[in-house]
Amino acid sequence: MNKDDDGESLLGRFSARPVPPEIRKRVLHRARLKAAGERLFTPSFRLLFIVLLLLGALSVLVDWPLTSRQQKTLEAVLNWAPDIRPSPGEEMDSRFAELLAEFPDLEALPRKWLIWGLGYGEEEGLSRPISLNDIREKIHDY
Amino acid sequence: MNIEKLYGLYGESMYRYLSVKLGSALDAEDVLQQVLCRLVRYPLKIRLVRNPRAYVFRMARNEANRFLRSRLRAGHEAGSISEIAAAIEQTISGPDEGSTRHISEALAKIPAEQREVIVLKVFEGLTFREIAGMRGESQNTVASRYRYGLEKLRQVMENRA
Repeated sequence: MNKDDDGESLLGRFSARPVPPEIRKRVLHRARLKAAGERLFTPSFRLLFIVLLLLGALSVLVDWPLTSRQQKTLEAVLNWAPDIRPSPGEEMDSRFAELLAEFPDLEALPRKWLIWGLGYGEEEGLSRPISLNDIREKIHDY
Repeated sequence: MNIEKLYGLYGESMYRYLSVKLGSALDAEDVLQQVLCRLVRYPLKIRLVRNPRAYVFRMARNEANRFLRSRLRAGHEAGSISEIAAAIEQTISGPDEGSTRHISEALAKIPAEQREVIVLKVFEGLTFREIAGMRGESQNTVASRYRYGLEKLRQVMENRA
């Protein structure tokens, strides 16, 4: 019998002791809490966050060109406006109301439409919110 | 793989290993929960590695070393021989309390690297190949550490007698 065998036979009388169940319970509880807190920092969540951040920045920074649908809508507004110019105020208002019914989101027209189509100065357009009256006046002027 | 399953497969082994390495059952709990969180955070890795057990123990070892370094930076000393002996005694069982205490004290007195290999091989049943993979060493080096460790252990026991 060599020295290794001596040592191994000496250790062979001992075995690993089972871990008490309360330690398992404690470790799992704390690990679960920690994992839940760290979930936001997993690579997939981080990637998703970065992509969303980039998309957000892109939508804010990029001056998207008008879509063909937006152009058609704006042209409809502009083509309609000269017809009402000679009309009395009331009639114009009622017809304007019709226009609003047709384009319920007119009040929320993107500023770039107004700048591009109705001749708003860029500074004017950006300095304050554009109200419905502004649009109305512009259509009068047009 | 979820935390419960990971604990079921490797939790107890890792806990015993960490207790001996850190010389503290409480610290072993802290580090173990950290290791489990890391394993859950990168679930794909454990499926891709050739030997998941070696991978898990390597992660536990790295985490334990990180923990020990941070403790040293904070001015705490590494576990004393008596603390390590107490930790070993908590993780093994023998024919009687006296012999368990004696072998634990003897194991605490041999060099840490040899002790680690012996504990992993004898009590946790890892192969030399797994221990080598876990420690980033060759199998021959690990086998040598094991042999020298047993020799040293035998000497310590003889001197005690």
